[in-house]
Amino acid sequence: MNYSQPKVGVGLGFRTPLYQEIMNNKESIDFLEVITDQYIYAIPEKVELLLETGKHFPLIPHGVGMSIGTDMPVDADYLQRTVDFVEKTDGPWFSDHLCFTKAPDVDIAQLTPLWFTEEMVEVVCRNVKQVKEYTDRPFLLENITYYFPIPLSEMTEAEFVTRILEKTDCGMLLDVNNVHINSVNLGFDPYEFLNSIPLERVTQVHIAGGTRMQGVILDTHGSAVSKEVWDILKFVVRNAPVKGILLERDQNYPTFQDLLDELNIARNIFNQYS
Amino acid sequence: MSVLEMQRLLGKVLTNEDLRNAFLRDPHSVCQTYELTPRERESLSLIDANRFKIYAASLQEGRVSLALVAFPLTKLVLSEEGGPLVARYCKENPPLPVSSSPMFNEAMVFYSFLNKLVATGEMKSKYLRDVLEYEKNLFFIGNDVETSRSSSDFARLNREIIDNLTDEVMLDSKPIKGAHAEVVSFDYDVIELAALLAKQEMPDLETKHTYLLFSKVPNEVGIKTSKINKSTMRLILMCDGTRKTEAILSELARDNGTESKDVVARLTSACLPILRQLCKSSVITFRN
Ligand SMILES: [Fe+2]
Repeated sequence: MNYSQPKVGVGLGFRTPLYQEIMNNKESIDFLEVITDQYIYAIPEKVELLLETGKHFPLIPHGVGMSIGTDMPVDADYLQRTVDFVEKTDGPWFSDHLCFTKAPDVDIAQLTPLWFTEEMVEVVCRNVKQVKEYTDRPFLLENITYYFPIPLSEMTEAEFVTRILEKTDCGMLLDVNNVHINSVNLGFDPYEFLNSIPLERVTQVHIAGGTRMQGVILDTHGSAVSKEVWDILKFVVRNAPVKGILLERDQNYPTFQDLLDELNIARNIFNQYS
Repeated sequence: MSVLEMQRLLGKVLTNEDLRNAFLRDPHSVCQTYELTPRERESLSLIDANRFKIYAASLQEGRVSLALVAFPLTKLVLSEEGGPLVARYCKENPPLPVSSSPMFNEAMVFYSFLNKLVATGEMKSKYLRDVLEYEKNLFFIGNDVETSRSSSDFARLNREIIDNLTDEVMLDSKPIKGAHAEVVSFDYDVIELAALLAKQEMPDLETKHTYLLFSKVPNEVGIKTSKINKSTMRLILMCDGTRKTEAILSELARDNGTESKDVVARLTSACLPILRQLCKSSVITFRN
């Protein structure tokens, strides 16, 4: 794996309702992560406006719909549009999730867990290979939140992630909030998980807050980052060559100052522990 | 091996409530209709039913939330409706894979669903039709790739013709409205209604027929909305590229019950400046 990606600092997920505040606080935000799927089918004016914003911040494309774990080739049109978009934004890397979101005649439209089996490792590796045939830009895979594991797995999630990252030589986008949520919902030690994956491949980190409901934590990106997540972040920054930390916030927006305060905490951790 | 078949089953069961209930009652009989290995069948039958239901419910909520991003004011009006709207929407509109923006697609499917409920009188709110139609036009015209292309094309064409667009030329050519412009009638003053709803107020308005022209601003992110009167709406609707301005004016005169020269002349002097303005703002163009 090529570890020469630049350090991009501490960034915020670009969301339309936050646009004005983001522009008013340019000096406090090091980069923006943009949801690829919101642009690859968009009108050209919307993409132009984003690229205009990109004159003030590095942009990093992050996809949600590639469905890298579906046992069929990645949709070639989707992939070509994604790669074109990545080129336009000049992102130092791009990412999507280690999951599946669709099958031939159904669009689940959410990040759904894979079965941790040898066969599934092969499926993902084959699809990542296809992605890499389209572009040389580093492609990162992100761990997801899942509420139920698919039973009779042949390996743990950590082994599954490790096998795929090593076999594909991909970097990882480690969502520390997802690690925390899964550790609570599924009952495992988050640090044991982290010690079992190739942390040296972690290029980017996500932080966010979830919502407790019906006895589980849901990954809503709708609340403040919890103490547990800050603690996991410190561990990851200390032990992985993290290039960027990204705050995801999608709903139940607080004041923008609250978001800036969270970015500051992340920046202090980044400076102190990396 | 049949991983894809397993994923297809999971997708179906997660997004189809009836099938999900059947699966959770008796996973083996649902699995039988898919080509799965014994181990895959066994795995699926052991899935935590409670967690599975929580996830499936979040998928339903997620679909409607995504659609409602395009309809924030409609969402407010809908909050008064109650009823199992989310489940019904998901049941009647299975999520098919599409090669377009997920949000755009979900929003338009949701619009069609609600529009049908409004048309069949199943919704209570008197404002719903207006607010839904208002937001649909803002969203669709603002985000559709074809409307974007149409507005740019019209702007380019009109730059070429605008300097030579004399009254004679206009009368002798066929005006045509672009796909990026829409005229819509409303039962209430929808601008006032939208402003009040945006302040989270549920207003009590009297009926007031209102006509709006929506048009995509060429080469920019944005929609222009203008209040127009009923006659202008009729004039714009007649700009369909099939007849010359002259013929449109005669038809309008006939609508007034006369084709006298005076009436046509009055209409001509009233309508040509409007058409010129519509051309300048690229709502329409003229064809030979
Ligand atoms: Fe994430």
